[in-house]
Amino acid sequence: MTIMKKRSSIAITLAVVFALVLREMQTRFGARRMGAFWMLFEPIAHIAFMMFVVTVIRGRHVPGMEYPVYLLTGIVPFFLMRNIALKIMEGVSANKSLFVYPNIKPFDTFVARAIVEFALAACVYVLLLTIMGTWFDFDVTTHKPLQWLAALFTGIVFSFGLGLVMCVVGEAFPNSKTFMRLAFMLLYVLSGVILPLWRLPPQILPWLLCNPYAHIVDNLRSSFFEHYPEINGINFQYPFAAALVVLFMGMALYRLRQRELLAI
Amino acid sequence: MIELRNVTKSYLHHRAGRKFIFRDLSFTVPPNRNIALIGRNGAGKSTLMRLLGGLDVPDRGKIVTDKRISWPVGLSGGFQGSLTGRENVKFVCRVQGVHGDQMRSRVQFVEEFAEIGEYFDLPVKTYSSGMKGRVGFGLSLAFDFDYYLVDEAMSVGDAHFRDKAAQAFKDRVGRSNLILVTHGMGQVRKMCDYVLLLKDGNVIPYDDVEAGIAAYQGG
Repeated sequence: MTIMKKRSSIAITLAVVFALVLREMQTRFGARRMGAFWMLFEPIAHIAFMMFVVTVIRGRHVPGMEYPVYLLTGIVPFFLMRNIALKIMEGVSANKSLFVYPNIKPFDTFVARAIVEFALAACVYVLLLTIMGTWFDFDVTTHKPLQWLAALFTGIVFSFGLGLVMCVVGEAFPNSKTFMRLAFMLLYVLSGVILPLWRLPPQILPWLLCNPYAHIVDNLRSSFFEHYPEINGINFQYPFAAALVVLFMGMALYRLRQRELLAI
Repeated sequence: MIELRNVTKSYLHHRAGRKFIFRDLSFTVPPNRNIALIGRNGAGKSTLMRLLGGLDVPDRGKIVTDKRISWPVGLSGGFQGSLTGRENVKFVCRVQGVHGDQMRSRVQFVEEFAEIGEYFDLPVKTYSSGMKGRVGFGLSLAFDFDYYLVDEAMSVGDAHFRDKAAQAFKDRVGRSNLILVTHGMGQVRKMCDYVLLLKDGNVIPYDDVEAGIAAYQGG
């Protein structure tokens, strides 16, 4: 055995994140028979069921757009953002036993979890769009891909920062996790994922637009569809500013509480 | 050398209030000695070991060292139950920055050291606690540390494995040292040449092993 040589901190972080991503994937794949299939099938079934309920049973539609595609373009990114935030919130408590090994820091588990969630959501999104485009003859091309990517990036950064804040708060006050999880149910309803924002009474719209997720979901859709009705007050600046602020807050809180998070 | 400077450590419990384990504890561990940490139950042995291993941080004060101290030897809490022993070992190798041939040789080392046969390729949740301990033990030995933290882990497994483990540490004499937390005075006599006796939140060092053991047994 040779003596271990000193590595740069970036090399250590990359190695740790890579190992964690692999471990997370192995765990999810290997948890059940046909794990890879179930891993994709579960979210797809969930989303397909929601689409069925809303479009067929309740018969909702949105003028100018195909409702299933409308729903899909909101629901998958929203679930991604929600999962990133919630998974990061649990990142420390779920990986606590790993912090005995030198080099593994809570932040590495956050990054790894975000990567895993992103990869999973990307697969689900592409798969569902392909199915809808090929067999159901929906128009599934993104109208402004770069703008769409910018909106998604904003959403991921915002969720990552929010997850950091939630994790630090959740570790300090474990009971608060229940409320934060519930808050995401509320956000799901209030972000215009299922119901278009313009259907809501105009007097409550300014209040709803305090929620960055409402902006992000709407930005994603307005970049996806060519003819998307413009809603007053929706913009790219507000969620991006919110993302930066939350990310900064999250990092600052993490820095302050790093030692407590690491302690087993 | 490992030095503790004014280390204070307490735990907060929602019913019992704040319990202090150490207040302003300072001492120095001399270099190149095999150290035995002994003391009664609740004297703070495990807490001290967690602090040394970096599993926990002091409320105040510092632990200064230029040595690489292992995670507790034989620890298997970090294993993911649904992954195999091999996958878990590979994970730790990756984290430590070991790739390719190096990784293969270390995984092989752990496999041979643990001697659990085909179970090495089965999920860890199917292991008995002894088997988990064996893999954990081999995993710690696969990496080079200046100090190995051993928390009564020498009692892992059967007599054959215990001998093997003791031999593994004997082979490392001169390269690595031991910090042993135990109640077994036989092990202290066999493995260590320096005693730290924990008593009422204080650490009393004994250069002479027998004197330390006598102080511990005398209460």
